[in-house]
Parts: sequence; structure tokens; C-alpha cells
Amino acid sequence: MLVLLSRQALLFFYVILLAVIMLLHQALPLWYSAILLLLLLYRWPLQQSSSKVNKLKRINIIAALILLLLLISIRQSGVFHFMIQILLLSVTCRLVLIRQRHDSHQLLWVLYFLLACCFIFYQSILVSLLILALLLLTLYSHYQLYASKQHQLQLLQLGKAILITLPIWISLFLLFPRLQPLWRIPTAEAAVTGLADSLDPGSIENLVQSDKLAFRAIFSGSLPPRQQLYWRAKVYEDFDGRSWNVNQRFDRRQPGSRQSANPNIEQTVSYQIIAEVSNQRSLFALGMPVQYANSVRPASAYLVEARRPVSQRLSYQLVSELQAIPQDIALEQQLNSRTVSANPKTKVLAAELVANAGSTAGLIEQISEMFRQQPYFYSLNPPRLGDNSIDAFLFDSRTGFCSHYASATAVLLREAGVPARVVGGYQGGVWHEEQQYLEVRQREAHAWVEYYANNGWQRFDPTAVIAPERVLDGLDAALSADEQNQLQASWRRFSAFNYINQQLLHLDYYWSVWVLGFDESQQLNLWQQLKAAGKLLALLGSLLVAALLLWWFLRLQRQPPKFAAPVLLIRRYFGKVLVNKPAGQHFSQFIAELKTHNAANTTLLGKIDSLYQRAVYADDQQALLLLEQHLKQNAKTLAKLNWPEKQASAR
Amino acid sequence: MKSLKNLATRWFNNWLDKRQPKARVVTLTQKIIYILPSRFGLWYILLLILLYLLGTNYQNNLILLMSYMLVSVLLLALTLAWRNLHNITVSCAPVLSAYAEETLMVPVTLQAPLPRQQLQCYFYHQQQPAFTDNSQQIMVPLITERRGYFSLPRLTVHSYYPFGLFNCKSMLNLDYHYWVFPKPLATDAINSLGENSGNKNQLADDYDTIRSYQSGDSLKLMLWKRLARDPTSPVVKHAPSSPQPEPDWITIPAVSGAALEVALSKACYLMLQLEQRGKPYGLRINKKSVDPSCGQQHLERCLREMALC
Repeated sequence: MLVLLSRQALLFFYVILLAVIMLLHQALPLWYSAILLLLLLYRWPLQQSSSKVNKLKRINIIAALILLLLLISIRQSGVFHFMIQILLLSVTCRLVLIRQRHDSHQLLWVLYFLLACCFIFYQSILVSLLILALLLLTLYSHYQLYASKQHQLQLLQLGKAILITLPIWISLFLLFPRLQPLWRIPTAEAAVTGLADSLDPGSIENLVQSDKLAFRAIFSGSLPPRQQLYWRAKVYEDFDGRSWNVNQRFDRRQPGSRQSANPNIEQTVSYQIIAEVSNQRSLFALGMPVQYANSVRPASAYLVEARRPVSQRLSYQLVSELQAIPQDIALEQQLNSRTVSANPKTKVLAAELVANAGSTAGLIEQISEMFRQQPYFYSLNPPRLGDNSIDAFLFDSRTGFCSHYASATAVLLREAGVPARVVGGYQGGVWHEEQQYLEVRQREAHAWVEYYANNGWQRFDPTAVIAPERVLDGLDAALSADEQNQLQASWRRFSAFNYINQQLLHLDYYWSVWVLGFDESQQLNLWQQLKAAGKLLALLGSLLVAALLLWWFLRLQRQPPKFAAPVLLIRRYFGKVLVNKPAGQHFSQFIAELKTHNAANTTLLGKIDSLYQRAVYADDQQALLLLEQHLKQNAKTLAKLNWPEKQASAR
Repeated sequence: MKSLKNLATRWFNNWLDKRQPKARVVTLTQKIIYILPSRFGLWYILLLILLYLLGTNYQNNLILLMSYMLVSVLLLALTLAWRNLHNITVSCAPVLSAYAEETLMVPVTLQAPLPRQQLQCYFYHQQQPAFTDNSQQIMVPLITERRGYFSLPRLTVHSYYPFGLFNCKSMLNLDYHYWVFPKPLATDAINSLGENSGNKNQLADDYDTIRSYQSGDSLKLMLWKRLARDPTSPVVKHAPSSPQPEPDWITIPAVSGAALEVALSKACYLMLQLEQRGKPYGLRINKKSVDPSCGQQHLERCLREMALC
């Protein structure tokens, strides 16, 4: 059956498809998006009829060519993106050719699927709301296809429909069982954010310029003191004279999970982290993690890593001990004692320091003293350093950021014979008292040193020596006014914008905790709580059923009766005899017939008939009352009225 | 294979007959409304499963939320589809007749307390369904083949509303019959079947002359098409002013098979012509005969006799 699509429906499909192409731009090469848009333009004056056969042939040839191009570039895009590209191609071609309602089925199907794919790329609340709006628009156009054109969608009905669907929707989300991932998802190449695998003297300064969120932390106990909030993300062990790199051993998977045998209860911190998209595996942890959530696994040097690169928000639970990190592998000390032949002045300085200091602790004290007493400065804009970067920093510029200090300290320690390494991560964060979470942005990126002493890797933060405000009050406190301005985007300076932005961030936080972070364990919790409250729920349910029944009953009563009052009366009192009255016969005729069979009651029947006629046709209230009286008085007589069986069967 | 299918169809029809016996007026209740997913509905369910898998695999709550939302839309569609058909009272016009090989437009009345959307009615699946939104009465086409007296086939009332995910239908067994008269077959020898061929020439003559209407002229002679075009000056066919002394008898010869059909068709044509001209005619079929008369009722009676012979 041929039902043509309306212009409005076509327009809606165009809008939705355009939005989807925009949203999925990450999965599409630029040339491909351009081709899709051109294809869409092909149909632009959305006319109904066209020489369809001709077009079909043309579109098929174009689609085949594009498919060929896509196949050639499949290497670059990866399987998942390829699938999205194919779907987009098919939906675009379908939309260009679409004429009838029947054609729109495939279109709708693919649109729904693509809208779901958008959620893989975006999970922030604003974009999610946009996608939801697109989904609703799709549903609306879908509805319009099968609804009468004359009928406007009524708000009341829509409200009722939402009232029906909402509880089902929410309870399905909360209670429907979830499966473990069934197969490995092909991940696409995407821009990596956060700390890189190599630490140049300038890399942290660049990172700090970014205002982007790195992760949020929620503590089940109280917030540990700020000096303890060193979030370890990367450990740099290879030094080439200028920059620090992550050792190869971090690429290997750590065998098994590392659960502590006897966790020291007093020193443990339990917390949940919601990590933002970084497209790398490394995650954040305080001190030594002893208990891991399912979604993460331990990595070398007591770090934590995700099972696959974090391409969407990831929430995980950890328990950490805030203490020195134990040795991970036997070779670790050796690995962190290697020195390079660059930076000769530093080597000399290290030898001097060793000679003065008796122990490792003394050495640390000496280094701190040096940074504190000699004119060293903490700055976001240090001068560029040459090849012997440590020498240039320690003896010439004396101005640097945390990475400079950490790098110089680690080299000094290594030259002095103490195993040492640079740790990259984040320090501190902004605590939101009302919402009870710690917000850690990229600007909180930090680098410090770990050296081996007393059977463990001790933390030493040279920045805390040179600029203690940085650790205690955050980055802003340690920087000059100019440097602070450099960090803040111009629009952030207006307090109103700032306020709104902060509120949006809080909303985003609740969104990620309640919607994005909802997982199996929380579901299990919910089920258990429901089970515990079973009796209460049963009570509530029965109350609800009772209320519904009551409502239904009241509604039934309020409905106007099907028949007028006198008719009902007659029906009640004449009961059996009335069965014999043929459908079309008038009541008076029936009474007349009755009279012939019941000679004794002629007067009574006549009276009833006349009262009935008056009550029904003249709307006479008094007649109605009289009729009721009469019927009541003579109920018994009426029940015994005769109707000859034979005649009834003969009719 | 084919016999198996036939068997299944027969079994299904019997089951339907038992479930909903014939009735003049049927109200669609829960018992006789059948809701099945359409082809698109099945694809939609596949989509739901795929989205669920995608959501669990990516551990993406938003995709899961979306798939659950679409599930609830599916359930909503189910309820709305049912409500769209529920409580409609279906009945039909009492007398139905058509000529063979003609499409009989059956006026079906759908009465509902609330407005319904996109209802479709058909008798056989291959035929174009009739659409209705608000109107109470719709004309459902029924193609007739042979002459005779038949009971109305099962009327299917169905709708894809909303979303086209479900085919919500009810197959009603309405207790009505319809007549199929022989197909009129134009014939020159207008009286070849009749015994009395007295005024053959005159009949042919006054066929194409017309004159203006004067009071007292039979309405049957009125040229209605012309009147619609020009209402001020009515025109009537020129009819012989003198009444026919003897009525025509139309006699069906005692043949059978194809010859009988042809004879009936020609007789039908003749009868209509005579009726149009307001001439009395009688009918003789085998041993039965209908006395000569004129008028719509008489015509109906004769046509029925011919349909049944």
C-alpha cells in the first residue's frame, strides 16, 4: 500500500541525520562527511515525486564508489568506525531516495542505532540531553508516520503515555540484569589526554594550562589531609639526560591481582574515582592500593590501570594504604640507579652532597636545604633549557616548575647512589563540601620524586620545599597574579559565568555518579535492599492496587446509567416476562399482549403502562415515584405474570 | 506443502468460527482482538537486543537507558494499538447486492466512543483496504465473481497505529448476506428472448429522442445527468405516450453451463432496459415465473430469481 511521506517528515529526517553526522564526526574522515552532505543536497528541494528509476541507478553507482573508498581506508578508521560509516552511507542513500512510508523503516532502524552509537562518543550531560532530544524527535516522526494527519498530538495523552512508560523505563534500568562484556571492543585511535609517557622539562606546564577535568574522587571516610593527596598516575624510570620516560616493564601485564594479606586498617583510605576520558590505560591512586574494583587491575610499581584505554567515563573503587610503596620487582633498585653521562656539574654537586651527608635522610635534608636557601624560584614560565637541562637548571636559570625540581632531585639522588625515580600524577584538588567530592583538573598535574630507603619507596616533593603553598593551598596560591591570569580563560574571570559553570559541573557530577556510574554492584545492592524491604513493598503494592480498584469503582459509579430510570425499574420488576418481548416492539404493545394472557391484572398493567409512558416521555418526576411505588407494592403479582410457553415458541 | 498450508488455514478458520460465532453487530472486545508484531516490529525487537548488547559491551549506561526507553515505547505501542481497536462496534448495511464481476462496496459502520486512528478494513488480503480516521461509515470493496447468494466473508479490521510495530487486528464474522446478480450483457436483439416482439422497432426508435419535461412525466424518464448540468430546464426521454397493451415476458431458455450464463446476462440487460423505460415485464425460469409488473421491488425480485437459478 502506497503512503507517501510528507514534506515535514522528510525535513525532520534531514535534521536528525545532519545532527547525527555532526555528532559522529570523530568517526568520519572529513572528506567522507563532505560527501555525505553533498549526497543529502542532491535531494534538497524536498519534492515528492521524481524520476525514481533513474535516480536509483545513479545513487547505487555513487554508493558503490563511496563503499570502495571506505574499504580502502578501513585500515585507518578501524572496524567500529567502518561500521558507523557504512550505516551512515546506507541511511543517507535511503533518505535521498525515500518516497513511501514503507521505505522509512530501514531509515528509522539505522537512525535509532546511530543515535545509540553517539553515546559511545559523548557522555556529558549536555550532549546526552541533545541526543535524547534527537531521539525524541525521531520517535515523534516515527509516530507521525502511522498517525492520522488530522489528529494533533494531545498533551494530555502524551502525559499519560509518559506516565506509563517512565516507571517501566526506570525500573528496567535499575533492575534488569547486566551482562559482562561479551567480546573485546575494537578501540579506535583517539587523542590521548593527561600525562604522557614521557616527561619533558616543559610538559607539565603545558598540561597545567588546561582547565579540563581529570577525575573526581569520593571518599567513604573523611578527606585525608592535603599533604597526602598525591595521586600517582605514572612512574618515570628511564632518563636520557633531558627527559624522563616510562620503562618498558609497564607494558607487561601484572600477573594476578595483588590483594594485601593484612591491610593496616588504621591507615587505609577507601574511595571511588570517576575518571574522565583520557584514551590511555593509566589511572590514579593514592599511596599503595590494596583492594581493587573489578574494572581496574594492578600495574607495575603499584600503579592502577584500566583493562582497556579509557574511552568513556570510568568509575572504580579502591582501598589504599597511605605509606611507602614496597619494592615491586627485584631489579627495581638497579633500574633506578642508572645514570647518564650528561650533566657533569650535577655529578660533582652530588658527590659533594654525599660527602657532607651521612645517610639517605641526610642527603634529602641537604637537597631541601639547598633549594630553600639558595635563590631558586617557582614559575610557570621557566626559560628554555639546553641539552644538559639539569645543569642549566641547577646552576644557571634556577627557575622552574615542579617537573624541573623533581627531575633535578631524582638525578642528584641517582648520582649520589640512591635509587630514585620521578612520579607523575596530580596533587590536591578542589574539595566541594556540599557535594562531598574532590574535583581534580589537569591543572593539578604534578611531578615528584620517589627514592628507595628503609625497604620502600619514600615520597619526596621538592616543590613542597620551594613553594609549600602549592601543596597546601593549590597551584593558584603559589603563582604570581600574572601567571594566575595566564591560566584563567578570559570568560572564567566573570563570577557569574564561573558560578554557572560550577553548578553545571556539580550537575555533571551527579549525572556521572547516578547515571554513568551505575553498575552491577550497585544493582546488586539495590536488589538486596528491595529484598530487605519486601514486606513494606508488598504493603505499598497492595495499597496501590486497592487505590486503583477504588478509583475504578468510583469512575464506574459516576458514569451515567445506560438506560433511563423508568426503564431500569421495569427491567427489575418485570424480569422474566420481559424476555419474551421482541426487540422492536413498543412497551405498550407488549403490555396489551400481556393483558390478554393475564386477565386478572389488567387494571394494574394499564396503570403501570400509563405511568411509565408519562415518566419516560413527559419526564414526569411524580409519575416516576408513583411507578416505583406501584411496582414495589405489586412485586409478587408481577413476578407471577403468565406468558404461555407454546405461544412463545410459536413466535 | 501446499496441502499442509491449506490444512492450517482450515484449522485456523474453524478455530475462529468457534471462537467468535456469527453476529449482526460485533463489539471488539479483548477476546477477539489479535495483536501480532509486524515485520518492522520484529526488526525493532532485534534493534533492542542489539542495543542491549552494545550497551553491556561498552558498559555504557546511556545506551542501556536508550534501549530500555525503546522497550517501554514498544510496550506503549502495544497498549495503544489495543486501545485503538478496543470497543469499536461494527455493523453493516442490511441489504447488499451487486452485479457479477463488479466491485461491491459494502458500507461498514464503525462506532466508537473515542476517535480512532488509521483503521483499515478489508475482506480479502489482496484487496485494497479501506481507510478511515473519523468517519463512522466506510465502504469496503468486495469483488464479486459468480452470481448467487453468498454470506459475507470475514471482515478484517486492523491498524498499524502507532509506530507500525504491531499489526492489531480483528477478524469479524458478520452475519450478512449479499446478492450477486448476473452481469448485464448488452444485446441488440432486445426482444430476442421475449415471446412478444410486437413493438420492437418502436422501442429502438424512442430511445434517443428527448423532449422537455412537463408535469406528470415519470421521474424514471428524467435525464439526471443533464439535470445536474442544467437544473433550469429538465429534459426527459421521449417515451411513447400510449401504454403497452401487453407486458413483455422474459423467458430463460432451458440450457445450462456457459450458455445459461450468457442467457441470464442478456436477460438481465433487457430487464434493466425495460425497467428504465417503465415497461412491465415478467420472468419465466424453468417452471417458475414472476408475473409481469414494474418497479424497483419487482426488479429486485426478478434479479434474485435469476441469481439463484
